[in-house]
Amino acid sequence: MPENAAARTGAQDRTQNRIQDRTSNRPQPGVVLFYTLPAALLSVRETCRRFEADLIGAGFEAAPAGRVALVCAEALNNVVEHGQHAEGAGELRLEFSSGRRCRLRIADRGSPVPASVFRKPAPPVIEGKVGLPEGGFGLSIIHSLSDEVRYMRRGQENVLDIVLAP
Amino acid sequence: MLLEAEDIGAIRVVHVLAERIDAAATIEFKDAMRAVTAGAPGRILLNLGQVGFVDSSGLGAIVAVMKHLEAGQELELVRLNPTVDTVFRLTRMDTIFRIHDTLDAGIAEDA
Repeated sequence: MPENAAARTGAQDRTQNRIQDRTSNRPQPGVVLFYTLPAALLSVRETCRRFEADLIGAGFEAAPAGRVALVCAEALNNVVEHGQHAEGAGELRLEFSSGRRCRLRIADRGSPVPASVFRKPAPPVIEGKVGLPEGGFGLSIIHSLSDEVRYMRRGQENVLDIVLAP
Repeated sequence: MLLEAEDIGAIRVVHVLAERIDAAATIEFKDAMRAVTAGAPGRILLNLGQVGFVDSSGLGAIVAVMKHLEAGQELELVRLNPTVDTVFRLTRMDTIFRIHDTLDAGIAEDA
């Protein structure tokens, strides 16, 4: 992949995107989007909204862009709600790259989490209205829309890679 | 979160005038829904036509609202966009809620 990884600035909630080819209406190999955001739900919302708009700006159709943004929101919310962030370490990095398949990478500098946190859960029991679960759907949605979900601890970072063909 | 309610015959129609029902909005959505559904006699149609995005937390909030309705009330959904529809199908919640393509269809249908 050419030199398209945007440099980090450390500024919060800041976006740097390089979209290589805006002329075609099809997703181009090598579209790279890069964001940093504070580990907060409102920042997740703002980033996902921008991410979806950027995908459409890069030539993605609305439906696949919506699915990618949904997986992204579920993953980011999961990290924000369940991540262990030390004081001052609550910044998340989101990277997206498209090619034959697309990859979402979310990285943070919180404490390590057990890999089981991101494993595919048993499907929630949906039977009748009484006792219906009100949560626990996020990971099912991520796994249903993705080919691969992988968590790694790399140095001081948690790295969550999600591969999908939207 | 801005919700607008109107009664059409015996049906309370609740229009969600927000772009997203997501993890950052669940509490206000549940509070606002509790307020606008109070005293509705029976069917409640939740019009999501203006909503572009519902995540799993938003879905959980809609389920919570449904579970805490008053006796005799029934929550049905109207106008799901494709991404919102995906969320309901993947979680099989489309088997729990009655979902209507249009507001007119929801209003016309017998309970």
